[in-house]
Amino acid sequence: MRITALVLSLLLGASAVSAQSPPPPLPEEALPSVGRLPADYPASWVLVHDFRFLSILDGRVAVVDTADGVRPLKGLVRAAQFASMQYSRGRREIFTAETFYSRLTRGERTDAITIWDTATLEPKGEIVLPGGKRQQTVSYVGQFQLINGDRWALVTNFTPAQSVTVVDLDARRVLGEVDLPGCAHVFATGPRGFSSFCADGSMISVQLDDKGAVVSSATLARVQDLDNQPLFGNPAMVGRTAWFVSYKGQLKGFDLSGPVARPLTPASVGTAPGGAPEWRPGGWQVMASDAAGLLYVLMSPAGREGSHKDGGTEVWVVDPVRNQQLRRIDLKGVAGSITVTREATPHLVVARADGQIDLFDAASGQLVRQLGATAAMSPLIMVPAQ
Amino acid sequence: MIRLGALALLLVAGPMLAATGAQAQAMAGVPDPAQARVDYMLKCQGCHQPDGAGNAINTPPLAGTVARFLTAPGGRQFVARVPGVAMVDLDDVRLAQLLNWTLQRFDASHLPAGFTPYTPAEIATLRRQPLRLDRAAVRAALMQHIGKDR
Amino acid sequence: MSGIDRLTERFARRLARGTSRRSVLAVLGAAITGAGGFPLLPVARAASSAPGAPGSRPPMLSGNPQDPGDQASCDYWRYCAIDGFLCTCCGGTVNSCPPGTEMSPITWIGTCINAADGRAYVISYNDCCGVSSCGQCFCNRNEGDRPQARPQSNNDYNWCLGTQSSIYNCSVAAIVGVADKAK
Repeated sequence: MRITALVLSLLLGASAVSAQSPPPPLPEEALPSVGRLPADYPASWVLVHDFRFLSILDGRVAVVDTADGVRPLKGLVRAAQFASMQYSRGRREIFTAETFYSRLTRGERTDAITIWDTATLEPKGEIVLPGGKRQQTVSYVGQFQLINGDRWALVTNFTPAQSVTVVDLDARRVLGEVDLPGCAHVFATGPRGFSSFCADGSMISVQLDDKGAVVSSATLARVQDLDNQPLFGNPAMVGRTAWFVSYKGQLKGFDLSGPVARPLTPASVGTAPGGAPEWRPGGWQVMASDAAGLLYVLMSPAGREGSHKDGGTEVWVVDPVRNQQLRRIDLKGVAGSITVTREATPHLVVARADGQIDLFDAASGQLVRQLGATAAMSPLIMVPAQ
Repeated sequence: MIRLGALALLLVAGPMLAATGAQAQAMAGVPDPAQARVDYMLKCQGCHQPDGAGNAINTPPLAGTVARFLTAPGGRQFVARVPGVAMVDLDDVRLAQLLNWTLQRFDASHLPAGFTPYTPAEIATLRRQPLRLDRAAVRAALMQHIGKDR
Repeated sequence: MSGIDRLTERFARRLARGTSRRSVLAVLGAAITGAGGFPLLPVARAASSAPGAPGSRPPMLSGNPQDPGDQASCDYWRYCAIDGFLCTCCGGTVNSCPPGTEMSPITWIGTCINAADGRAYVISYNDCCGVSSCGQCFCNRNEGDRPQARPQSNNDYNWCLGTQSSIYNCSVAAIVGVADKAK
């Protein structure tokens, strides 16, 4: 029916045209023309850190609208060479902590925090980090944190000596460096400080004064069993509580709202049939949370010693306060990283090894949309825009 | 002939046996040097290097240096309290052995006279108080005492 | 079931169209059927571990029966805790860096069991630095891997330290000793 109508209209149109002058040409388009984003990203948007394994020095952050199946990629921001990324909604800024060489792969090294405008994706400025010792690691959020109401940033260093550089983002200058031997990663804690995991299984919480110097510290012994219940490095945040999951599915939460981290009662991801040999978390960014405070954990049935980065095929939704596994979401394949949007109808965003990004309804577990591999080569860390 | 052979064997084997015994005693506090060597490889060598040279910028050298700390007040404690030592995933027995091995392997010439090896009990006590934020200051004070400019 | 079949088909077609990753289909297929356990970051195993897979490369053998296995495959015994591109596929060998790179003196070290003689060998995974990502034969195995708070047991660090450049090219797996007891 439709085909016939089409042929008919073409014939009619052709005969009509042949009898009159052809339609006017398409209009000329104004150049130059560069796109612009809303300064405040909608809740369906996600920042995807593309580690870009095949070209690590050319890493990026992709700004993605998960609700747009036709044009999901909204723009890219440079995140070079094992970069770290942070996003401040309030400041309308994206930050990348990067490393550069004067001849791309050789020459003089420069480490810097670049400040990007969320609307234009142009660099507004940079803060050079001294010493050329910024920690370069496959993407962990604990290498780069915003503290003090997003006015300051912390960047971890590893030479292999461990320390933390404190940066004033408003004044765009380095305030100082805190020696932190034996500990790795920092997580914003209290009014103006951080907590870090140490090699003896302890956690240290440090508060800074208004000049960036250490004013107090406290150590919590035995918060992490590095041998038997080691924790994945990327937590899910519920307010100012950081929830970590262990290689075997134990959930450990730390209330970071006060000057010293406060461990909460541990919970568990629970169990399920079909483990071969057993269900364990697996992947890179394996933890996510929703607005209600539920945790989402990327799980694999093939858990064993050494499987913790092999990805997962299900997401288990857990209430960490009531210590209950609520439901399981089948991801229809292996995934490496997950996050959950803060939309009114939240979505579970799933990134796979080959760059494919899929969207599931977080409540029902139904597949909603497949974005394809349209944004990033190696999507390791995803941050919802709200 | 046989007796001669046996005697010859003893003559050959004797010094070897004696040497083994002498080696075990030469490394005080190191009952199992082979295990200490492997522990050094797995826990320390990656940064401090197979020859203990470290890296002037990034990792303190052990060779020619580490035993000097033992002559400074508080230095013996410092060596066991640095996080790389205190927080390592080895039990007190193996850690004491590793520390004694490292001192004698890389800086024997600077061992103080009458050096007593670390004991597991001593290690257990010291590693309960690892240096953290104060490490740099403590080390700097010790280096001043030792007299090197690093 | 039909929904999953359609989904799988779309996945497979999209993959075949969009990438040149040789063994990703094998990985996904294995995962869906429950075999699972395949390294994920960023793509599975070096192709030669899937014999007959399209584009798989010829094996690299040492010629020494005491050092068995394909040195271009993630399954090779020395690679039990490797993270990165295999230098054997990048112009280097299992224990030497490609020309033009600099071997990092600072490294992380693990132990792997050699089935040929039953020993646990101490393996040094030195990185080769100063040239951009090799891009060939990526492997990520994590036996004994622990969080970053224990650096000597973590392979997520860029171990190009103490070199002129921290740009990462590939990783070797050199034998530096024998562990008395496999840890």
